[in-house]
Amino acid sequence: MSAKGAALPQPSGREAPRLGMVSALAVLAATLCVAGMLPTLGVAAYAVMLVATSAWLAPEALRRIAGWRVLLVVLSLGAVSYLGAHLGAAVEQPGAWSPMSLALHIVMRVATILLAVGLIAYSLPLEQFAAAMERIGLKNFGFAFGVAVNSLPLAGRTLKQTYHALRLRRAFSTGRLRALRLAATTVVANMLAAADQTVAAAMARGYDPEKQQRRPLPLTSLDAVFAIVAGAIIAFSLYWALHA
Amino acid sequence: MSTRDLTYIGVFAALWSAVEISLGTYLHAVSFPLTGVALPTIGLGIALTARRVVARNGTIFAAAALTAALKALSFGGIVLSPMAAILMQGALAEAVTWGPKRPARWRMCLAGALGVTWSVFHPLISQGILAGKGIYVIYLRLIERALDIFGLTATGALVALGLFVLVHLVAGAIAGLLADLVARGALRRIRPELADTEPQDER
Repeated sequence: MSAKGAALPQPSGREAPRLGMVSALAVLAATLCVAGMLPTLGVAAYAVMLVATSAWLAPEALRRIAGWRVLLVVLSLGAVSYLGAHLGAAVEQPGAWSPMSLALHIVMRVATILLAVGLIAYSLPLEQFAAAMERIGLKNFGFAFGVAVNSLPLAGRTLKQTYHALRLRRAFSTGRLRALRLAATTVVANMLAAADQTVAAAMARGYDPEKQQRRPLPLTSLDAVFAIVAGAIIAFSLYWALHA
Repeated sequence: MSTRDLTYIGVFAALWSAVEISLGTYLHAVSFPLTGVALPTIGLGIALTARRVVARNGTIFAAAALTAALKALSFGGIVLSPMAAILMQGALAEAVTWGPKRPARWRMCLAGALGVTWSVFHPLISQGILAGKGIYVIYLRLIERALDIFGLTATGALVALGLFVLVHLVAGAIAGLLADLVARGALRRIRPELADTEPQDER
């Protein structure tokens, strides 16, 4: 979810269309159904649809996902699945699959879920998500969830940087427990400092959790299209799972 | 809750999720033998740090609920069971620390110990719910078979189980203690006025 919302212009200067909450939920539901029910070819076809949609609505998501780290994770999971199935390890997939087809399916599945999450994260304004959560009674959950989603990359970066900084100073070779405590304190302090900036930004926008009222869920022009397409995909996935 | 409290909870949930997603994926991939101890210990350590920093009831469970929601978005095989485990660990730790604004250290340690120990019983309970009571019969037969193969007695198996639980209890207690120290250290850097408040079950 984009914390910046729809207020900030895109780099091209043109305001790109954005997902609404209904569209995001439709994409999420369709993705989970496809990943869980369809065979590899179906998942691949759906992934192509997601790539096209991301290129239209959230090109930044595609740039992030095309990075070597994500590719490495996806391929590593595929390789681990292949080895696990090859060695007869307990893998939560039907036993009739060959190691290669199982690995390919898991790679496609992971790539599809990453694409869907990227599309939602980079195209859905935080305001839409918060409004939806407040509508279903989880007061302030939407705000905290939005903060958590947006802080995830920072959390990963902070953990990695702190670990490397302490490792380079040989902190882990002397007092490990002390090094662990220092590392944890640094990570928490950095995250809290970043959180304070988020608080300032939220307050500057006039966000006050005590004054939050139930707002009508804003609908975008894309919602109807996404809901219909996702409904068709979910129906097809269910049909396939029951009859194939 | 204020905007600051909500933001802090969100940030701690992101930290917990980052550990679950990055370290968890890695440890599961390499079949690290103590993943069931390491991940809950770190996760609950983060949640208990949040409890000490935010100093409000409901903080741990809110962080657990957010982490579970983020877990749903992470890739991996089946996420429902880890999500349920995170929620239960959060609920247990929340129950122990419920009440005082700044829980005493023994409460933090107990919360960590109970939360981490849940991961021993979670697979048994969740599989029992999913697969029915018959699964317990299968497990008992498997245990009997294993005892025969290794030439162990039931007492030996119980001692081994006790030691396994003890490892979880100790790891959780250490997480609670570290959480208190880390929260104080971080607050000293960010908000010094709150850092030196003694945790003594004050309301």
